[in-house]
Amino acid sequence: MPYLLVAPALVVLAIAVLYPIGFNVYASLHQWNLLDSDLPTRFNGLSTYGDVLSDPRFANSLRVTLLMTLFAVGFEFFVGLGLALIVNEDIWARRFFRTVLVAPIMATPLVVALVFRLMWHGEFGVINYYLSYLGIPPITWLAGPYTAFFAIFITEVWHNTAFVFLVLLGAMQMLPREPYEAAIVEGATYWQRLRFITLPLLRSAILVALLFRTVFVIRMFDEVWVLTRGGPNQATETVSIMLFKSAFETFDVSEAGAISVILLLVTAGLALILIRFVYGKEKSE
Amino acid sequence: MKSSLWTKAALTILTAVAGTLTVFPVLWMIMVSLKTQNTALRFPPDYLFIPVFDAYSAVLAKTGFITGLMNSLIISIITLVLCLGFGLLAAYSISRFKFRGAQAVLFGMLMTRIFPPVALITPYFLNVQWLGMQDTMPPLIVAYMALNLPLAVWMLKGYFDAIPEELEQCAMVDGATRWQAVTKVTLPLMGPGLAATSVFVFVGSWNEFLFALTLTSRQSRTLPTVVAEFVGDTGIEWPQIMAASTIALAPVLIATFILQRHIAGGMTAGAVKG
Repeated sequence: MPYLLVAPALVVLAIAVLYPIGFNVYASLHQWNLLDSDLPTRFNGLSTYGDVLSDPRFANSLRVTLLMTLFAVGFEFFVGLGLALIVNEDIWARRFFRTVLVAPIMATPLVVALVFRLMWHGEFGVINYYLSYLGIPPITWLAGPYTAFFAIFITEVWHNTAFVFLVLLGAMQMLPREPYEAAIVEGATYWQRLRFITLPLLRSAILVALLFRTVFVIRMFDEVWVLTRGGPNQATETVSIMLFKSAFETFDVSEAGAISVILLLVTAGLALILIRFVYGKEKSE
Repeated sequence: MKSSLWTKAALTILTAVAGTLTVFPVLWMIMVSLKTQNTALRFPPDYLFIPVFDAYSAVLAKTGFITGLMNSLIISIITLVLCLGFGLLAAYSISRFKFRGAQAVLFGMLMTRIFPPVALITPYFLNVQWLGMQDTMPPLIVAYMALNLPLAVWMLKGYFDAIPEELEQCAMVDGATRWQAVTKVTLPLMGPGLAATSVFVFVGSWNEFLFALTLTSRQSRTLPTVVAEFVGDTGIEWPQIMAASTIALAPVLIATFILQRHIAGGMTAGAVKG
């Protein structure tokens, strides 16, 4: 009976998640390009993995993804934490600011990308207009390799800092009061309380925020697709974008399969950390 | 905690700056949508202006837009109903029966929530083609169910856990069947939780772009894919694109506003509260 109730959900996941994963593994072990044939031609062993791992284009996409993840998650973490600490203090209009700062959190990624595409526009972009006040000449943001990366980075942190903010603020509001009262009696400064009480108590919330953001920056697709399609010259080509192109532009199903499997393994590793350190506690309780 | 008036003022101003940067793109989108191509892209911009709705009427008249809007609504609602149904069954079972493998199911689902959808798209696309189902709704609905079910099950399990099983048992002692006990006693108590889960699943399907981009071409195009295509047109009409974007974003912003307290817990599948 209990198994029967779980079955419908599992069937859906089997069709749309497990089967595709198995399919990817199979495709990655065979030679298969849709331009040559509709079906895999021959068993290829692990050589597609060898090709992918030694492909400079894949190395580039790894570097882009890694840098984007480091910069975006790092920025989102510090700004999100800072804002959560501030809004957790008694400032004016707290609830109002909380609502405002959370606004982008579920925004349609495609819409965010389109709005920022207009704002980054070299000629009609409002960002260039405001920068002209500072004496900065117009920049064609999405055409240069570094500026395009920067534009995607800013778009990403605009969209998702709210998540870190909200998770950490929620955790802060549930912290016990006693340690703070004791610390104040002992004469601890604000920074000491932050360092020795708040941050240690927030550890698991911080881990959740960082891991979820990491996973979601790795999978980011819509924003890059609309803003640059990975260009100029692969300067913003993340692993997700390269994967999509190898499937739908060069029709290399085995390459797409191999990249998918690599991506799945990486995220599975991150998921295991999450399960072990965050949800694991519930289990032992 | 107490702080001096100056600190309080400085912190409030800092937050206001962050708040301004946060709302600016949304306001800019709405502003451009209410102008014409000529007035929208003129600098310095008119911050005060008489809004015109030309862009909205143009977008609504554009081929495919209404179809996309309706498709998005239909797909999101069907996904929501099925997800809630399947999710409730699974969550109830995991929460109440604590059967062998329940933990494995739960964590397996979390795992699928973490997996990047782009790593599943090639096989899914090829199989949909082989079945001759490209540009139809069912494959999209199944994919969206898979993307949203883990979240729904985790959230719903949390809400079931919060309602004591004794309530159901009391009803059953009084002669109710388990089905009646759940539908008459437990589910009504879960009202807010059900609403929050529904909104999450709905927004999840409403926002999705990648699967819609690859699996549909005309008839079953959803709103985000239709809007994305406007950019490819010659001579980009920015007010129209921003009008379409505003229409697509409006329900999501409203949902965010209503949902506030549930967002953090929902998005992390219960890893954090509040």
